[in-house]
Amino acid sequence: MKRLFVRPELCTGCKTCEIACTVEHSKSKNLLGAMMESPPPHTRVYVEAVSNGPFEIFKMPMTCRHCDPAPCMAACIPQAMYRTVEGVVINVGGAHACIACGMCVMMCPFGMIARALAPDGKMMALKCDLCPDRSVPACAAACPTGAILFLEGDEFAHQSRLRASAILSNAKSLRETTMTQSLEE
Amino acid sequence: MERSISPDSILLLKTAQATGVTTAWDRYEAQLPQCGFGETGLCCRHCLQGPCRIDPFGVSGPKYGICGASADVIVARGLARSIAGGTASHSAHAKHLVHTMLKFSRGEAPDYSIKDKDKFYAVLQRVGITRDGKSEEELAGELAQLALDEFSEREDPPVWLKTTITPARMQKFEQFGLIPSGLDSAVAEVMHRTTNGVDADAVNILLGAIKCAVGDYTGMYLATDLSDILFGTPAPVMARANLGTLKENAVNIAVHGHNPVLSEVIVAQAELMREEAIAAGAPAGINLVGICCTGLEVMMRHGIPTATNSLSQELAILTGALDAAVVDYQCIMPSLPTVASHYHTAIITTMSIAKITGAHHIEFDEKHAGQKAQEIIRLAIEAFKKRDPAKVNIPPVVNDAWAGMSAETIVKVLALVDPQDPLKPLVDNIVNGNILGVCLFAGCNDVKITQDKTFVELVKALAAENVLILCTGCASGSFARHGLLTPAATEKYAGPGLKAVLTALGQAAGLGGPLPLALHTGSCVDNTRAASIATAIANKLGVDVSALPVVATAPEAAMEKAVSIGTWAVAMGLPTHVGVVPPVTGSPLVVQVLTQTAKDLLGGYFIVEPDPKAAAAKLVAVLKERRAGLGI
Repeated sequence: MKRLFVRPELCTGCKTCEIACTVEHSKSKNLLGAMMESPPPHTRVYVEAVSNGPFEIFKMPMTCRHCDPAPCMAACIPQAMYRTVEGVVINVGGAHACIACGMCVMMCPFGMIARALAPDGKMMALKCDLCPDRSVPACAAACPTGAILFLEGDEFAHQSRLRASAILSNAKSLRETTMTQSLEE
Repeated sequence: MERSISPDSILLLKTAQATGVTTAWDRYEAQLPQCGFGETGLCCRHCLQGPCRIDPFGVSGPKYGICGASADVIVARGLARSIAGGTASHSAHAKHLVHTMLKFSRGEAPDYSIKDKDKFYAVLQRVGITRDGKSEEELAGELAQLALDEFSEREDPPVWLKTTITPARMQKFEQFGLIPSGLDSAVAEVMHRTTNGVDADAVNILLGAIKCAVGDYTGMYLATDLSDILFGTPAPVMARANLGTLKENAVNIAVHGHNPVLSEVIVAQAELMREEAIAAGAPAGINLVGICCTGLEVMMRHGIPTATNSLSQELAILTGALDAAVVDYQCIMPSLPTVASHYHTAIITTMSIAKITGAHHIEFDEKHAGQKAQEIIRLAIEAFKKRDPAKVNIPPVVNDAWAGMSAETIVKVLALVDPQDPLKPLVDNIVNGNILGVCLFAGCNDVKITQDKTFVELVKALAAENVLILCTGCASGSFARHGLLTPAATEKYAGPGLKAVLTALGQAAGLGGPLPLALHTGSCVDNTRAASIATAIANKLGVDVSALPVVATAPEAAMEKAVSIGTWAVAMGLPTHVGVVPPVTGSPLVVQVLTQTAKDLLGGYFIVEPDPKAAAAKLVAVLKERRAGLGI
């Protein structure tokens, strides 16, 4: 299955992903309309910042991992949280209704679940559904730097291998230069 | 990260936390993470097709805006507009003073007068107005009209520019097209050339931005001249600093903002209304304190204590003892009425162009200045009656602070050593190495870094290396809060050469000890006071300012005004340190022009270094390089 991956080193902290996610999970599905809705729509992706001193702020896009096994599913007492055949962990459209007890909120190690009002006004646990109406989730599609990616797990690892190989190839040419120099000496 | 090293700020930040009052520091944290496109200057909103953003990593995102502007062009345009913002602010401040002088000349401002006739005549002579038996009012009218003409589009170079810089600098400005055609025109030109589809050459845009900053210098020079004429040229005065200057048994009124036009009248009226405050139950009468540069203006002219400055302005309310804050314009947080809603404090706006929702508004005008000031003070006395004694929490922190070291004062002190040639003792001590060089500290506090930490560590490091320190604006406020505007600080922190010079001058001035470690030369609009000393020394030596061992620093810069001041300091030939990273890092070209190319063209250039120790090392190296250039 395709999943969301992040490259924190490319995150500028602009929060365009949060806006895109919020709009996608609104009734009107456009920015202007979403801003005027009541209850206000809620994001399911978050950009967090950790300050390591002046001008050293680490920015991290936080997305649901759709874990397997998923702590949120295990903790869900009414068994509203379930895994779809595509592998998406979600609490809407299943056999049981979410009762907003907040167990999943407490269990998620990444803090990716919010207890808030859904667009229909019902209090419930709101989390990433990987945008079922879209081919690419709104956050990944909106990210201006490619810090959030929607890829098959293999593909992300492949891209990482390519980047690492490129660095190593520089190191290799450097080593060759050094060797040539030492031979000449 | 610590929020502040200022003891009064630290105490009141705890109060804010305990009482749930939100301050700028909390709002900064709520903003994190801040958008990296804005941080790097790579976001453009100059037309309705945007916002456009350039990928700072150059990986998969766009490299050009919709119009085709590159990262270099977008960053340069953004910087130019922030310089225009700073220039517009200083020019507005200057124009306000010009209008006040014009009204005085027409007899329409009865609460104002020519306080410093010597400076009045000196400025008239400098700008080429002959006295010819004309009355004071006539001369003031002529001066005001000449000053007003500086702002509009003109063919000749601005008078306050060409009469205050070295001939070599003027020639350089002509060579590179850096002479603004009017001070308001300079701002308008930047707005024009940075709008969609005009200037798309980053270096040319930067030259336009520097031209605008030269206009900023001119407006500031003019503002300082007129302030001194109308309210007196600052002379040495012992004042006090920190929030401990608020008094439990007095009606405490803070004057806050930048322009002395209103605060001077409040100072005069407060004296007359003492009995009213006593009758209201405040045995100590009225206690005026200053916040920000309005505070520094009345500090250096009347010894009014400086309570705190821009970043920590909200904390004054958290003492529970501030009865009113009277504000004019610039650096006034829109949050003040919200913070004040937890207390009895009256926030009083006074300018038609600067209102804040939730504040009282008493519109000030020069014709009824005294009456308006009385109205404001009465509102403060009314607020005092509602003060809750249980909430009073004045931090027991007070420092002495010497202020009022204007250029004229510095020359007068030097003249006590050598009446024939006042600058000679200063030049001699620079040549013999007792003084390594001169550093002007300016700029703000910035919420992104620990309040006052860079200021204090940098000044101590430079003073230990025998660098003579001048300071203005929030730098002065910061030093005042930490007891660095005192002879004791000189004893403790000055290197041996600097200590010997400051002691000799202090004894000549009859202080019985050294001059303070840092010389408080004025508010932030007064940075040209330091420039005027540098220009006088350069003219005396027959060199340009760019040859002198003089540097500037804004270690904790925050505002657009600091950007424009820093830029004209560079234009004047000063290596200028900035301790925060400005939003230009998205363009390697812009960074290179500001930090390197400018040195070749103008002699001045920017040095960006957040670490105070590393910054001190860099500035000392620059001063040594300049000394080597002069062969000393």
